[in-house]
Amino acid sequence: MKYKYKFLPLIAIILFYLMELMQAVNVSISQGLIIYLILGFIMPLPLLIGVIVAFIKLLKEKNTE
Amino acid sequence: MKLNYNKKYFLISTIILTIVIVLSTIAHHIFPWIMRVPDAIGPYTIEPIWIDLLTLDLGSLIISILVFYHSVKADGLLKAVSFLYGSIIFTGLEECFWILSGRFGLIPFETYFFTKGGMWFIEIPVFTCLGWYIIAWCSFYISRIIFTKKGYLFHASIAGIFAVSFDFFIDPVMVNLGSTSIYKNAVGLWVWLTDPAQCFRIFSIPFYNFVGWFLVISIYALLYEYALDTKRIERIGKTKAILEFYGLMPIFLAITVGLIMVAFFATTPLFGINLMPIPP
Repeated sequence: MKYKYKFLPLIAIILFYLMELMQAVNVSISQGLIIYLILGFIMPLPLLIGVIVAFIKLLKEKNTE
Repeated sequence: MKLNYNKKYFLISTIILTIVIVLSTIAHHIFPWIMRVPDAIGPYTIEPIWIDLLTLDLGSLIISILVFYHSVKADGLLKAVSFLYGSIIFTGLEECFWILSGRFGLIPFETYFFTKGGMWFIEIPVFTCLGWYIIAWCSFYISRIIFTKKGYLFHASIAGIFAVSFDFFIDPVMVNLGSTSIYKNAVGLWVWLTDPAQCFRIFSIPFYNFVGWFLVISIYALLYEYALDTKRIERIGKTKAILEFYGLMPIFLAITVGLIMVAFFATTPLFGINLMPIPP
């Protein structure tokens, strides 16, 4: 597999996350509650940290090739 | 034009799934009485609403194509097609089980239903199935990248943790999406019908939902890794491997549903408790 393709799932999940975050912003504004945004930044942390670690590992892989 | 085995498999499974989706969509929109579709206004944000539905379906389809392209490059067409359609069938049937068995009284409590969708797979909007697919593949791939030396049981568990962490955010937002709608009496993207006094809740969402997310992603990843292991496919042949993959699905589904039931009844002493409630 070409090196650049390896990043596709990371891009896809971040896009998906941003779409959901946009919805959270809308709900927060319409209800005047910040809780949805707080949840949006705190709860998916395991996944977001996973994306960052995977990103770094893929970058390192390129440098060692 | 002569198609090779993998392309034929892709074509045939696409046709079959398309037929199921078309029939489900017709049943949902034109004959809602067949599935006793509840009467509720979804969180539409644009008029005419078909533009809203089209945007939703197309948005998830575009990201799914990106993910599918990657999975073809990573695991080959045969495994990529199996993962895509397998995840739609596995998660779709699991969700349909809860929705329909609750609706038709096959289990002692009502569960939930979806309010908005253009294309439908039985009683699940297709964009939700594609959402499952995106989360399943990305979580699984990320866990494989990070923990290269670990086995597939570990990868599947980590993928489940990634997915459920995401759902802790998605679920509370989606059930309150009605407040962003152009219609005043709109409800969320899905509506929970489980009696709050008859379940344990976190963020006002039944706890068994989160258990379900973890189990569905983990168990599906396990099934995929076991049945479609590359060395195994070489040993037993493509057709047998595919048949086993789909053949084992009901067993893995039954295990998933059973474990969710266990989690539901195990939390009986906590029924009525709502950890960190979110106002509706």
